[in-house]
Amino acid sequence: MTWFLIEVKKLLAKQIDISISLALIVIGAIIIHTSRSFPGAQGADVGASFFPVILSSLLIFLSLLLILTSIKNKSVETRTAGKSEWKKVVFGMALTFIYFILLIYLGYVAATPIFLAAMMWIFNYRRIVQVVFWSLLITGIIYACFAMLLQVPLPSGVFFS
Amino acid sequence: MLDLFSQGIVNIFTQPTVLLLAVLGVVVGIVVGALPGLTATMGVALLLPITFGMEPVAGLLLLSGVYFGGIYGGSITAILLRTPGTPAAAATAIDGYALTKKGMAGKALTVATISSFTGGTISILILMFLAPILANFALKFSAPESFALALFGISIIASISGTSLIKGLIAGTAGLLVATVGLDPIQGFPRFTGGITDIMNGIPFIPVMIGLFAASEAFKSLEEMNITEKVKTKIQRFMISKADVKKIWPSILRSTGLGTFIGIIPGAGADIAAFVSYNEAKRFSKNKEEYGEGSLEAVAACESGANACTGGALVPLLTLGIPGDSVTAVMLGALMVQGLQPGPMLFKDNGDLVYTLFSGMIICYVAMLIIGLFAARYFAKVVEIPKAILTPVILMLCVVGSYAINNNLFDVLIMLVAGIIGYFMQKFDFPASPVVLAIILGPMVESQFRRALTLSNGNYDIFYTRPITLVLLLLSLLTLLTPIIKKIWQTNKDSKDESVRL
Amino acid sequence: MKKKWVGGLLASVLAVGLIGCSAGTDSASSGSKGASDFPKKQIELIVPFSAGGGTDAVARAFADAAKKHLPKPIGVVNKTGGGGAIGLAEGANAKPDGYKASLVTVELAILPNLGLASFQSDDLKPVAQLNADPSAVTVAADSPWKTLDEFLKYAKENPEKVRIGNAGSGSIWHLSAAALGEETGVKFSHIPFEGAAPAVTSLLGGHLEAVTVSPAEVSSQVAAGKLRMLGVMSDERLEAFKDVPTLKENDIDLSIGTWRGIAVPKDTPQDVVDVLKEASRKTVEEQSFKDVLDKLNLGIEYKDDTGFADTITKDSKRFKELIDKLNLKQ
Repeated sequence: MTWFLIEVKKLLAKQIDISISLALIVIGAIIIHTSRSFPGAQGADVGASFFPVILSSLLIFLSLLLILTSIKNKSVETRTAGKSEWKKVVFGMALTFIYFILLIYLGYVAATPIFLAAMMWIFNYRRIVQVVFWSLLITGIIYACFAMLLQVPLPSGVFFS
Repeated sequence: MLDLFSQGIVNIFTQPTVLLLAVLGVVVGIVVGALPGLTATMGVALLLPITFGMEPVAGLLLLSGVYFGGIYGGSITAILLRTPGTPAAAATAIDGYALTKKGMAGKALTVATISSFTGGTISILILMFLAPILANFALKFSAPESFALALFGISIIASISGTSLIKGLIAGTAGLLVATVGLDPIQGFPRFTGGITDIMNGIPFIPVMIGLFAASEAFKSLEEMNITEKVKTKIQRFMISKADVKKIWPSILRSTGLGTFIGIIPGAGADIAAFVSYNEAKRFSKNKEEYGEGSLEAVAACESGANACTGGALVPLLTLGIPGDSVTAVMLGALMVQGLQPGPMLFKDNGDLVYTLFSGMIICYVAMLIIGLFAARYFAKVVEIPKAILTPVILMLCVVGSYAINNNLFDVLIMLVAGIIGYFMQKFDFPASPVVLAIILGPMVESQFRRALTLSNGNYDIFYTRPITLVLLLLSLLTLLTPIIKKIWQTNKDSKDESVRL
Repeated sequence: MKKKWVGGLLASVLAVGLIGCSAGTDSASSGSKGASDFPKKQIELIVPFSAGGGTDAVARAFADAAKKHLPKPIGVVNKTGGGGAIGLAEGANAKPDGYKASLVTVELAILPNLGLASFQSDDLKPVAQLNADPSAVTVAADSPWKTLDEFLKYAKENPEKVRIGNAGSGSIWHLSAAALGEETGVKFSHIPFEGAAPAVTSLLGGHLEAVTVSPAEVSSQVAAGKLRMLGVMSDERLEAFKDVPTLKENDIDLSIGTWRGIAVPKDTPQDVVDVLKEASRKTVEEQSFKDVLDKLNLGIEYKDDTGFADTITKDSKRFKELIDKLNLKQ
């Protein structure tokens, strides 16, 4: 049974590499196609399309090579990453994106403690006093470093400007 | 010359304010360098207006302190959090973070500090004694030479590819393609911009670097985040043993030479120096298999190479009045506002001031060594912070840092996209450092190649009739092909073994 | 008991904060009504180039010297990218209340004509011009050309052999070299670099025949006797380079170069503009402002709002013609 699982994993790993390669080949082809509308060689200059075309051709060639090797290669290493908790990662990415949106509207000072506290809370750090304390303290320290010490402005938010 | 130098030391120690400002500069520099998004260049530029009202030596040493501290400071977060504070620390992050994961953060920080100090100090000494001789070398670098140097840098991709060479090469090529986005360097045609002004000058590479290295790692650490089991990363020791010193010494010296040399070349800075140093250290190392898995030699090489760049970059600035990179461009402004005209006359007209400055720079480095060694214990505590607190903070720093570079929220978006891509790259074994290297060097390769051809009126002779160009081109070929040939040889041998076994 | 106390404190802090916020918005909206009370809060000055450069230096010196002439300080914010396009666009799209002013540069008149900007050059209302620097034809000191005539004669006899370095395709120094070619009927080979400094370095290394960047970029090399300035593209000779003739003295009717000034969004009320204009006029007279520009070899040239507006319209028209001729529009 375990033997079977390992085989499935190997197959999956191969399939992922092959699908990535195929995607890259498509991207390469699109780049080459787009580059054809760029201004061509002018005088001594090779033109704006020269490098993109060469590089995409190289990308396509390397992707083909990856497909070939992953088909040929019998001993695909199985990844040892245990049970990965995809949900948490996607959640974290989404929260960071929401933080970015909040920065636009609320600005750094308001958005940051909310983000920090929410992240800590969601990822199982559940001591209210500590969560509030840490998120406010860290927001303050970073604000002091950027905005006060170095005079680098942080987003002020469209609501407050 | 030596008496001028010792006089300089005396000058500085008799002016406590100058000494204090130099040390203050180093501290600010380390903070700026360690924070993602704030580079050494930015630190120097931000403090520049403050120096307008100061005495020349005081103001310039404050800025030098920020410059040196900034290049060094980037390594601290690179080692501890895989968050390179400055581009120069991107190479350090590869092995530095691997060491932290092994529980050797303390040693890594010590080695980084000592190497930065040694590389920087020696480069200042080279600046002091050999500047006029080396200066003209900078002028020999025209477009074909710079193209060859950039290509040499690119060829390193093969040796930082990690487990899969093909995947590394794919990552590098993709990075080079990302680097073509924006106005093309000769005709000024906007490529692949989709009409977005924010990427007209290219995809800003610091947000990409922060995303690929730091944000992706933070996302990954969310996978295993669970507060109930208290994961306490042990920081072993800070002291390095005699055996360690013996191991890293050659790579420090070699990288110092390389770094100073690359610093002198206009247009090439600490980031390139760090990657080239990494590659050459690996080439000559007896422990090649450690590279990428956490090698003290690698950290030593990157840091001494990056900091040796500082003295190198000052050579053409002070002797010829040529700024080779963005930091020295700001320093040029600082000198001129102080009424000092860099160039051949500077040493003649203001000899005592120049040597006081040199002495002060060495004092800056000594201050950096002491602060670095002392503070390493406190920096390293970062890894003991529970992940549930640390990971949100890293993500917040990634966001704020990418914003701070250009005060542009679009850069934050780029960082987020790079972070997500970087996470999946990690999942599927595509290495991130070739992408970063390619984005640093891609624009240089293309613009210098095309500029060289415009200069030669389309004649390709320009690439093999010039000695420096030819040597660098052959070196890049060698660097790129060695790992590939080795790999093919290895696979052949393996398959033969297998067939025997079958 | 203790908790209550903390709660009360929090509430009062919050209340004060809210009052502060609402007061802030009030003043912002009333700012556009009457200028008598402008400015009520800090003015933001957007600089479209990065900290540490020449434009940044002008902005910071201006902001510093303006403290004496405005009741509220000016804060400098660098918004970089797109060769100046991002900062200028932000300035053009800002709320027209005078609290977000821009330090505009010659790129304001160039970028729209190149088709690389989301704004037009008249989207910003000029307040005052602060500085101007002409293009200067500079060659290596060991080159055979001692005068501009000799240089142009050689260039005419050897079309496309004379390589002139500039600061990038479509940059002001590219346009000035191209304008020189147009005016004299000479064909140069234009080599774009990433900024003026690498072009100058290349000239020093003997990889170019000339550059047409600003005097500030070559001054230290000229002083050291490594480079020679043959002519400046200004109406009159420069104070710092008294013995370098203008192109007009050589019967070439060409005066071209970069400039910097203050501007606000185009719908800003005139009384607010007047306050800023008056403050700018006094600030340019400040010794600290003059000192910084002098030391960086940047030319001080003050013009009021109408004078600056003339410069912008005139240059924009001229650059449009040049860019069309050179086929640089993207």
